[in-house]
Amino acid sequence: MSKSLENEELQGNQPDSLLVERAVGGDGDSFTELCRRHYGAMVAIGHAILGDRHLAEDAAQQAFAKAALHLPRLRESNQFGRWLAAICRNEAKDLARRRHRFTTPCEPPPVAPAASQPSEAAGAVKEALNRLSSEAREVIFLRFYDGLSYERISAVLGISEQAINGRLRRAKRKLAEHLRGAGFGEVKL
Amino acid sequence: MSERKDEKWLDDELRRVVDGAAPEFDAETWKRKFPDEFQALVSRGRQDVQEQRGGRRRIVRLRFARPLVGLATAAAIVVVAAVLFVGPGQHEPQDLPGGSQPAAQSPAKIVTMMSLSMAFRQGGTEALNRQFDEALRKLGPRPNGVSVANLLGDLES
Repeated sequence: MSKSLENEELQGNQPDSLLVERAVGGDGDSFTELCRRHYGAMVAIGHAILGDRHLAEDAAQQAFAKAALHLPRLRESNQFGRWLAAICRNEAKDLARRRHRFTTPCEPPPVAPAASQPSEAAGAVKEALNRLSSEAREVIFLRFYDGLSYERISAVLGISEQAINGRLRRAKRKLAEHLRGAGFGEVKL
Repeated sequence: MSERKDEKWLDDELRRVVDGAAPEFDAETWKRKFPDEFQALVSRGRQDVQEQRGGRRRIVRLRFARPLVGLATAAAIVVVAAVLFVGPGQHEPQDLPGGSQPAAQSPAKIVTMMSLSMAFRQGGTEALNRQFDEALRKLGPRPNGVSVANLLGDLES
């Protein structure tokens, strides 16, 4: 096993708080490990706001850049995920505002682009997702974006796994309501 | 629409719609995209080391910025050095004439190694104490605002 791979594996086992402390001390590898660890969650958060995966990746990377600059301001190193998520939300909202300036007001709200022709169900679910509150949409994206674990979601939302479960259930009930309202039939939850 | 719509159905649809195929973070690309931010992060470590070194220098300056504490520290060092060099077992105090008199008159001379050594030879630790008392009496109580330069000026006089 090469030294860098060995290093990566060692870093991968460290808690966020330790990596944050090292990164504050100028350890670039610890910081990039934190980025790697939270990238999926940040892209999911960005995607929930922007409705576009590529823009979401831009927002996540800009959030990492801001975090690199302001890391010493983070008071509780074990709250890194939550802090980063707040930065990422702001970056995504900024991007959305900037994008909005260049689009006409009649354009529909952004929806996730489909790789192929969407089925009727997929179209209805997308529509229902866009009608959810930002908080509910975010928890759905976090959970279904590459199947993030409850533990990882808990780290970025700063709430217990039980609370995440509750938030997810409420979001799904809302989705089911929207689907029913759109004449799509009953979804038994 | 004969399909049964339950939670599993909704989960599958959500997975399809959200379309989150594992995004991979490429650290090298990110570093190239944000070189200033990354440099700011890694150079912070070097700055901290420099600041720590500077901090140590500041501590030393602080000690000497308080004249009486500085004097007391210097006196303690001199006493320890005197005891180590002279050694109470090696040279017993000698009853020299004029033993009750301080071995020196000015505060600067009182705290020199030679004068302390002489005082110890004359009267042991009691003579040393007397000599320090004399130095303190001559210097007198001083406010914290007295600078090191002023204090040294006093010592030289």
